[in-house]
Amino acid sequence: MMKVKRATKKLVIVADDFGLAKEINEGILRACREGFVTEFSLMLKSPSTQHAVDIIKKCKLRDVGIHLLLVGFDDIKRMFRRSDYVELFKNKNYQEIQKLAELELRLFEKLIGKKPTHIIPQYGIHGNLKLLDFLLGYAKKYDIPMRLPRTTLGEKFGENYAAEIMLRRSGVRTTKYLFGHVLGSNLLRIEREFIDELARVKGGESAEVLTHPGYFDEEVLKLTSLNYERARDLAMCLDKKFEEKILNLGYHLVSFSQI
Amino acid sequence: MKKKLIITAHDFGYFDSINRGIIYSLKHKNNIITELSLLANTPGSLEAAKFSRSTKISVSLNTNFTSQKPLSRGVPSLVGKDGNFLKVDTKTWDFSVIDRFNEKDVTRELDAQWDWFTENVGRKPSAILSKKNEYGDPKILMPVVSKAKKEGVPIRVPVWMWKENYGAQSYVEQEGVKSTQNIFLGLKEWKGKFGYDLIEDIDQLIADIKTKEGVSELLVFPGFVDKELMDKSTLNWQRGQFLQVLDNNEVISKIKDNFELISFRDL
Repeated sequence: MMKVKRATKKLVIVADDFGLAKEINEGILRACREGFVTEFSLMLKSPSTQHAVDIIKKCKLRDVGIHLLLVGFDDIKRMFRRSDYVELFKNKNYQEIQKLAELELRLFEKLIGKKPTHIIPQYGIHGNLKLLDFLLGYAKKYDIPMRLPRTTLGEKFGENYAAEIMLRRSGVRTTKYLFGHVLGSNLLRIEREFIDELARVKGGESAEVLTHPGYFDEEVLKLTSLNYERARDLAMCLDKKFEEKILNLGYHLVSFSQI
Repeated sequence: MKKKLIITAHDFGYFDSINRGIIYSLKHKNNIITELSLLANTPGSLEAAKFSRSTKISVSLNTNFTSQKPLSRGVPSLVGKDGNFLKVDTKTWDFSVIDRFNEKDVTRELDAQWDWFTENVGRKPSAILSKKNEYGDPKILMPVVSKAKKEGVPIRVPVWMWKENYGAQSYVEQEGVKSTQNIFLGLKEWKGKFGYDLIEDIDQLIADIKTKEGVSELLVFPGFVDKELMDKSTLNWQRGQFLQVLDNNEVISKIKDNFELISFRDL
């Protein structure tokens, strides 16, 4: 093994969508145990939430965050889409959005027996101030870290300075950077891009890499537009050479609670 | 149907040279400017207001919280020891001084700039705009949105660093304040980062505006260049370029042929 240099940077590697489907749950479990995923976020009110909760309890997994949906599969019998969120924020006021978030956070505590170790809203919807406003108060009160509010409801993988500066001013813990390559079939290119991005992070700074590892079956294909990409991300999370390259850039792999 | 485009002359009132450049542009046979963005607290503000009073062109308030001195008193969180606004660094886009602003002071200064405008121009601003788009930051955005709501005027899309800023943009929409949807800078040699050269990149600019939904705004920077401007503004010689663009019939026709030119008061 190559010598690891001064590890002064922190990297959280999060697997999203735990609870969405059984094959995804199994893939994430493997990515945590055999790969370098440090943390995962649980989707409530989803087809395999209970299956995920059983795994968490059976395997005594500790770092479990919430993948906040506001409206889950169980509520409307399908996945809530980006355009649905745009409508939701248009039609509901601050109090109504807050109520949805509170119910979901309470449900998390009921199922897991404690508060989440991080808050990661679906599609970065906490970039909308109607949700962010409430979440900042909640996260501050219980000292729960939150993902950077890059929101994908706008045009691209969202520049969102307004939400980011509010999050930083609130004192709620977050990483300095968030990197993600959600789409695409060229794993080697994606790994290279991650390494280029991670190399630009300076000593003492922190970053998060978001991933969607999972196995891929008919259920996954029907449920979500991200399907084979999950198997691709699982392969990446199990790639020891890739992990070694990251460590050689001077990173500690940590959970959100350690940032 | 042609896409709607507002062409705004930025920084009206900043310095005498800029005022003269903008007035020259308006009188040019190829004029394409539909909106003037008037600064309330700068050396050429009064002259620019006088001109604005004498024309019917749409004139908006170019709010400013980071250059020169505030118009209001008792806004300690906005100023340094010298009484000037706290300095930002547009080279690195470091606006961290806004961390120290409090919203009450922002509101007070915003009201002062608005009142200065109505008093000196003799009518309401057509919109509330911003010098460096500081209102991409919620601390400034929230007072600006409540003012716009109260006065029933639109604002510019609250981008940050001239880029997408979802949280601020959705906030404006949710609050029911009208705004443009996109902004383009008609200037390339500005810190080398943003914008289009209106001659070399004109086809690309037109194509890019056409891909966007909603109303776009093209910000232009007309100005003559004298010693004062050269010494006091980091954006100086570049302002001369627009005056040359006006003589380029091909560029002007392309803009006029491709877009319906409107102003903020048409929103």
